[in-house]
Amino acid sequence: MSSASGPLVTKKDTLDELRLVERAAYAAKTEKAVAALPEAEQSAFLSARQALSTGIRKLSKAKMADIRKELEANAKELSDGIDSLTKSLGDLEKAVRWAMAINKVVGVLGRVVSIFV
Amino acid sequence: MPSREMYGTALRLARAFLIPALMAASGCSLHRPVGEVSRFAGSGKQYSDAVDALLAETGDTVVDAESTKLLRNRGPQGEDALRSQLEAQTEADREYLEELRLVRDQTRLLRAYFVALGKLADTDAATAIKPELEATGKGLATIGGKLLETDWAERADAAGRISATLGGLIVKGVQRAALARELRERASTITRALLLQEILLEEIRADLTQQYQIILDERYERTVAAPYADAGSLETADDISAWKADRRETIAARWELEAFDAATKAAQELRLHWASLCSGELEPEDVASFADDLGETIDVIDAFRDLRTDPKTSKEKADE
Repeated sequence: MSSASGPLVTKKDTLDELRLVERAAYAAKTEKAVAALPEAEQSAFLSARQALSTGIRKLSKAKMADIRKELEANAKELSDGIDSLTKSLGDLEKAVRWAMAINKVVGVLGRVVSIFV
Repeated sequence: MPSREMYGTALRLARAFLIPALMAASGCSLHRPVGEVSRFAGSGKQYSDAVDALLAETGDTVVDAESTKLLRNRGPQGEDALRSQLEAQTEADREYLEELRLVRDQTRLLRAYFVALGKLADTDAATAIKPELEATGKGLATIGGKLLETDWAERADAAGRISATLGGLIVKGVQRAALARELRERASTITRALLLQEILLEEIRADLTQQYQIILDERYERTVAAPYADAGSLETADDISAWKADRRETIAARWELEAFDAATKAAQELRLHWASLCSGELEPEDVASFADDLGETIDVIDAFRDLRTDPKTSKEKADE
């Protein structure tokens, strides 16, 4: 986990701060204050607030990408595990199929022996 | 009389090589019943399914929440500015959903691992091979008896049973050895995967808490604070009753984020149980209790699904 702990912490701190700002920006008290402003300032505020929300979404995505990359780094080991388990299961099932095949041969052999002995 | 000598030699060989090999394969290499691995794998699969469902719901919830914010930011900015902010948010949401899809791929990979582990633990190869070996052993003894003119044929049933028992034990031993090797080799990989799942779930929880909180604040203002402050509102008994219900709901709302708490807890417990399984300390009771917790997780995920859309006020519900 150490490889990503640095960037994750940084993004987390930034995200936590930005989320606080976003929540305050959508609070009723703020909206009431903005409603009293001239139209141009209202527009600027709404655009900035939307840009903030979009930025937070992008940062959330980036943070999730950090975790996903760590998961992907683990993926080969997991796939190896799946292959190994599948192979072991296949070997066991093969043993049963061999036993069935040999049993058939022995059965035929037994009939042949019965004819001649 | 080669038959007697051969029989004796075979017994000595069995004592010398086969029995220690069986002990090594079945008894010493996996210090826990195969059933525990099977139950654990079942819990792991259940957990992965629950988290996958949760992540699927998360995508819809996030897009709905962002739509709510987009609408609240739709003012007198002018058409170009509005189109531009809509496009920027849509692009960000698309990228987020794509990221979520990639994360879900990893959860499904974890699920595939638990499924493969469960299949190996649950295989009935040891049972399936027994009748074949019993018949083969009996057949060989009969043939040997006829060819060598010995009394082997009289012991054919016993030979069959011995073959079946030994064969079953060997297969069981191979199965246990394969499981033991897997637990040993993948101990840190699974621990790491589950730890990352915890981090992921905590992050998504923080994100959704924010989304819900903004929606909750807006709802409180619209249905509780604004009507209360407006002298012309809340005049009829029905209005007052609806207002009280809305106030109660918005104050008490926890937004069912328990789904994430439960899933995070499940990931933690799964990781701890995995460690116990790898060290041979997992008890059946642990798995049973974990399965109960997982059942609760799935229940709260179902509740979480109902919450995706913007909540309706009591008045809106009554109008419906």
